[in-house]
Amino acid sequence: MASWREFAEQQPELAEIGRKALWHEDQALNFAFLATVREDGTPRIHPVCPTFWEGDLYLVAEGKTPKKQDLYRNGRYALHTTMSFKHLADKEEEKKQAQFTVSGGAVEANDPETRKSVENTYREWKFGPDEVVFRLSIERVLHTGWKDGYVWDKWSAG
Amino acid sequence: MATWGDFKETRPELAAHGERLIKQHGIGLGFIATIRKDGGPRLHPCCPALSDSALYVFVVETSPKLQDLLRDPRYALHAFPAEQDEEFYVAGRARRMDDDATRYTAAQAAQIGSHRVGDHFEAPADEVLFELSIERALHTTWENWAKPGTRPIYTKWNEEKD
Repeated sequence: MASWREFAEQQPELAEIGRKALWHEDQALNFAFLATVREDGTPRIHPVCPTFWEGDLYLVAEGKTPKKQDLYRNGRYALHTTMSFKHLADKEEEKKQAQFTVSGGAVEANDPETRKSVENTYREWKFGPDEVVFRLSIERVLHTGWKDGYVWDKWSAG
Repeated sequence: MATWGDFKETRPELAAHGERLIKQHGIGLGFIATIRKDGGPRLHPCCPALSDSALYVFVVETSPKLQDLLRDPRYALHAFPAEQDEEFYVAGRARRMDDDATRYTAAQAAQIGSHRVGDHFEAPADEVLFELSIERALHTTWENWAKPGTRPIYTKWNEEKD
């Protein structure tokens, strides 16, 4: 597994596509979907708001959300960008829209400094005592783009 | 194991919210999570289809989630993001359906553009059909959405506890 920073050093163009697909500066919150593994081994899906700080990818599990326990227990995750709806009516929009999915492991990174720094990346989110910050390691990346048809770029950590 | 039809009979309002959110853009849309061979989760966008009595999904033969579902049928499906962050989520098991009549019904329900042949839809030979059973369902709306003090309002269904 690699950190997002290590992935970006090896694959700067792909990492930049991913960063832009996951995080837009002009939005207060950027949603993506997160899959985790429940205690009984079945998958679970949640909307989440990933963020970047100092070149690494972070996630915040808020309050009593069951994904927090999933991540503590197992750590395995898959994250997929949401898609705008414009492309459904407009084929040209679909071509412009990047689909980006990343999977790997989540590790708690809840020390006060990281917590504060990650909190500061959100314009309107003030963490309560139950919010826990996780750093996401990268195992696999898949980007679906458009170049005269769908094209796929893949990357796996060593 | 409950079909969508069983679920709808037991919890008609919850199922109606689900149908509305899955089909909010006309064609059914959602994200489906499966379990990979190595035990990690996989997450893909998909086009779920709702007939009167069943929830279906077509999976192309080359998709890695086909092998996931044949190995471990447990899935989770989340509708696309909606207005005011309303959410709908179901989980259960996927069962492969190979008979022509079911594939035909599912193709009419799915209304996927690439399946269209003249005035109807045909299930393509290189796509495998699964019926998705419903073991759990969750609908979420938000009180004071996008305002201070926002909090989720959950409506849940669990087949085992029903």
